[in-house]
Order: sequence, then C-alpha cells, then structure tokens
Amino acid sequence: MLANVGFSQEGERNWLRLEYDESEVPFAGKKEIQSGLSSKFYDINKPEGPLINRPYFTPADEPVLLGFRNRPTPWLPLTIIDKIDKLRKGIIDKTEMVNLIKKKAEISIDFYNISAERYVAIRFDGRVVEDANSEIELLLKIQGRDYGIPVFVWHVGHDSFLGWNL
Amino acid sequence: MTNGTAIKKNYRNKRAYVKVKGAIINPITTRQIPLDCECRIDTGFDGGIMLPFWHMDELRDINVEARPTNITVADGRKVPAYVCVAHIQELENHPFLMPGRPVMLVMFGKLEGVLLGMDSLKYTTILFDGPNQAYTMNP
Repeated sequence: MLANVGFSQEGERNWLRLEYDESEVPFAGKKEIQSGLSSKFYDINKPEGPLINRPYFTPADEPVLLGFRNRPTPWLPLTIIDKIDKLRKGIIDKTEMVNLIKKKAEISIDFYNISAERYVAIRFDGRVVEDANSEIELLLKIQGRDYGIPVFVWHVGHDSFLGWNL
Repeated sequence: MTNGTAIKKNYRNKRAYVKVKGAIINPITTRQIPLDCECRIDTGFDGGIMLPFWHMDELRDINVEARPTNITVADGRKVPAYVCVAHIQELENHPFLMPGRPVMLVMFGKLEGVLLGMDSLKYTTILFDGPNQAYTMNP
C-alpha cells in the first residue's frame, strides 16, 4: 500500500511517498476500530474448561469492567465524574476503582444522611437505590434488577463491604 | 453433634473440604445457574462462597449482575470484588428446604480453590479435630 505525506519546503510543496506492508499496520484497511476491552475481558483472559477447575488469575490479570451504557450526569464533583467516565470506558485501574467506590459512598451517605451499620446499594451517579439491615437482605432486594447504571454495595460506617472491617 | 445429621469427614492435604450444591437465582425471572463444587472451609472469610471473578460472565446469562464493592483481603489491602446472592441447597448431601439458604457469593480474582466462609456456616456447628485430621459438621 502507498501513502502520500505532504510537506512544504521554501514555499514549494513536495510529496514524500511511503510504501508499507498492510499487515504490519494496526487497523489498516479496517473500517471500524474495536476498543479491545471486551475481548480482553471475555476472550483472552477467560480460560476454557469446567467452571471450577480452571486455572486462576492473579489480581493483576483481573480487569475492572462494568456495563455502562451512557455517561452519567450526576451532581458529583468533577474529579469523580471523570473517574466514572474512565470506568465506563473500562480504563480504570483497581486502585482507582477502590477509591472511587469509597469516595462515592461517603458523598452519597452524607447527602442522604444514612445511619451507620446500614447496608446500601448506590448507583454510580450517586443515587441510593436500596438499603437494608443485612448484606443478604440488600443483595436479595437488588438481585436481577436493572437500575440503568451499575450499582455498587456498601456497608455504612466501614472501610469495606466485607473482610476485616475496622 | 451426636444426632443423625452429623457429618464426619477427614481433611485432605491438611484442609477441610465440603461438597456444596446450590444455585444462583434471578428472583424476577426465576432462571438459575446451578452451583456444584467442593469448597474449602475458611473460617477467616466473612462471605458465603468465594469464586473466581469470571463467573460474573455466566451470571449475565440469567440477567443477574454481580455488584461491585470493596473488600479487605488477608493482608489488609482493599480490593474491588463483585457480590450477589447464591442459595445453598445441600451441604455434603444434607438438603435444606428450598430454595435453600441464601449466602453472599463473592467473586474475586486470586483463589487457590472455592472457599466456604462464615456467612455459609452461621447456622452450622463444626468441630475441628486437629489431631485426627477430621471435622464433624452438623448442618
């Protein structure tokens, strides 16, 4: 394949002619460029075989990807909106994800004045959609429901939902 | 621990394993995915069952989204994980009333096996017999 690259020199336009192999150029000849995120998540990393006896991932292999359809337009600080947009595009790393969930939970819980020890489900645009007295009760309430925007769960007054909560 | 439902089982590789059967159910459509695995009992794990994260993908077949959250792992780090509800219907061939006991299913990347945590055992009595490398469970 040939390509013409134009440049001017002392008022005169010259053309540099390049020749290259199409197979060496990424996306050459393709009408659409795929993001690669879905294949990273669904095809490359996912091993074949029975459910339980597959080889396991290391934490570094585990992608963070959620099914956002639209960019949310919430009332949150711009830094958080930017993080949500990164999350929507699937380019957020795990540390950013942890901080985003924690920060978002703090803001929403403060705004809605939710008492400590409640379990809450919060949309990524900051809206609290459900709350409950126990984690199972909360998860049963939201299981199978579509809230339009992905929902995360949180234990009010704690650093994390599960584990060594201090 | 002396009634007819008590289960005695030997350790394997110095670890206590238990067979678990159950399902992940979409309560709106009643569609479900069966869960059939041998779990390692982990008394340091607060959740119900821990699986590798790629099971999230299978949940989408029944329109169940695992919900993201932060969990604290053994070394104190906060990491993102995904949670939903599963129902345990059998522990070592001991059946529970349908639809089973609801437990928290946690999906997180690094696992050396499927774990059964304290949330699954909150109605269960277990006696670990270290010298004899066995445990007795009353589900």
